[in-house]
Amino acid sequence: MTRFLLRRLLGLAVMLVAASLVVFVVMNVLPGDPALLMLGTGATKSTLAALRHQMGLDLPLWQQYLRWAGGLLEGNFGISYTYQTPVAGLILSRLWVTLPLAGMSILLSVGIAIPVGVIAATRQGKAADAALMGAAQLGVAVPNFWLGLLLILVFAVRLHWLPATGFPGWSHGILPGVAALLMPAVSLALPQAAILARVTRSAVIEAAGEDYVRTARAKGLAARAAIWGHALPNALIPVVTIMGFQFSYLLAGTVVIENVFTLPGMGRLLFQAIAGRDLITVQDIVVLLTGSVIVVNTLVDLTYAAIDPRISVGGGER
Amino acid sequence: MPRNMRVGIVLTGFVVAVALVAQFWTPYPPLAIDVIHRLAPPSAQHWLGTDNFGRDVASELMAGAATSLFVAVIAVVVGAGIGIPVGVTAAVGGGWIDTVLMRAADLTFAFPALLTAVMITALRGPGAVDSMLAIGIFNIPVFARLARGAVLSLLGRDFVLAARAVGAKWHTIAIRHLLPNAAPILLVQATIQFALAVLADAGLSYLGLGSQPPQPSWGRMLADSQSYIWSDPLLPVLPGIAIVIAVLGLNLLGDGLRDKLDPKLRRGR
Repeated sequence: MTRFLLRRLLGLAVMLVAASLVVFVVMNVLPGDPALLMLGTGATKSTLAALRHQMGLDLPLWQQYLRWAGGLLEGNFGISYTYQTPVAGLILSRLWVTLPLAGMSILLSVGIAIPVGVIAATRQGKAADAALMGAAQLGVAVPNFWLGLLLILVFAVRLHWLPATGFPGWSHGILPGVAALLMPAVSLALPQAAILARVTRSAVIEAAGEDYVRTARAKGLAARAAIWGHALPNALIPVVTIMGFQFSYLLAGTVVIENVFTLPGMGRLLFQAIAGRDLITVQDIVVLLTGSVIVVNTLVDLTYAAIDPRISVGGGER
Repeated sequence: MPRNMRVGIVLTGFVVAVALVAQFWTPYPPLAIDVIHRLAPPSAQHWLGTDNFGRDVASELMAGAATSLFVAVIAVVVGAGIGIPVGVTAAVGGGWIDTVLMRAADLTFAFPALLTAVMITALRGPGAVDSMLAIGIFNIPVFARLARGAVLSLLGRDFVLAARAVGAKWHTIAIRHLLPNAAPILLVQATIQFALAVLADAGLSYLGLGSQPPQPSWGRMLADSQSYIWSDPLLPVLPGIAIVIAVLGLNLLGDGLRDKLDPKLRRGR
């Protein structure tokens, strides 16, 4: 188990370095001079040179990379060209919106998908199964940002139950904050729940046919208890795999959804940074999002080992 | 033929037909501005009403179908065109070639299409070519992994051994024997990636990172309609329905194809 863990952590470190290299190379090899973008074309040669020196742009590329990557490790993300403040602070203040939003979406998605998947599996071939899976088929096809617009249309424009857009901040209490994040979280969660429910259903159906479930039934366990207690835990591996895949879609989704609901989160910061050509902020946010996808996928791998001890014993490679 | 697949064929056929017809005919020119009749409700003249510039919504939706399908086709072609050779090479090459290529695929997979598009856009400004490229790059590891898995499962089969025994070269075996046998599963995945590409393109053009005005696109129609959500609720609803029809049709088609080609994977129904 320790060897397995060490190998995974080493792999994680290699992937993180590789990802930061890719982001750095893409952002720095393509043409465009951040110093020139900041000063505008009217700047004199000497001011431009001074700023380039201050920003470290006159260093060889590999030194620039080491400066940036080393800074990341120390929590120094550089200075935003637009805001003239440390990018780390900008990102940190936005995380208070993006993390709760992502967390609420995952909880909602799992909370809907697992019961729906299990119910459909136990009613396989009946009307309830057909209705639930029909809804899931439709849910997979719905773009999350359009779902967001529909929710605004129904719950803000027609019913006036929830605020259409914006975020009051957590200083006004938990409830207004959660209320502002509710529609964005549902928009992100439903399409993902649709996929997850389908996976849960087929995994539970497969597990329910196994001997251990028949044994559990034979010793007198009720059908419901056998499904929830024996089939579902064994069906979790494919479900967790898909959740890992979905994480990258979820992060990409927050970028879009935060713009639909004008939430001051990391996605909106990224979007504004593109518009303002704030390249260092774009570079930092992209590497953070990519890095968290890599970390989550490693965690998923480790979760397999926790769910199913056979994996770490067998080496766990593919 | 399963009912799902029939519905899938009808919906996909409808969207493709609309996109093709839009090349020759739309009720109005999709970009024709008519400020006097702006934000008109559906009528005999304008079946689905007009937008904030008085453009005919039905015509815009038709032209948008063509844009969407075009972006998706290119993205899938880029993904499959690079991903499949990479996957086959990894499977046939084995050893360190396999490790390096598959790690590279894992790495690419950590960049959602949107992030790739964001990086490209931050540097080059937005455009349709960039969004096709971004979605295409995200498709590469999907096809690479699938092709690798399919080829690995074929390598020990008798017809491959026979071809090797008579001295066939690996690239000949790959093209003549491996790919044709892996084609069905790749085709199913292509259909599903096509649906995902339509969704990704809609998201990117909603954010203004995809195809640029005046090129009509469903995502941008949604973005434009958002300002009128309080007064004209139909405007943000219609482009979304178009996206759902296209994606639902392609997904049903993909599911149906998979059931037909691989009875083992057939769902409970």
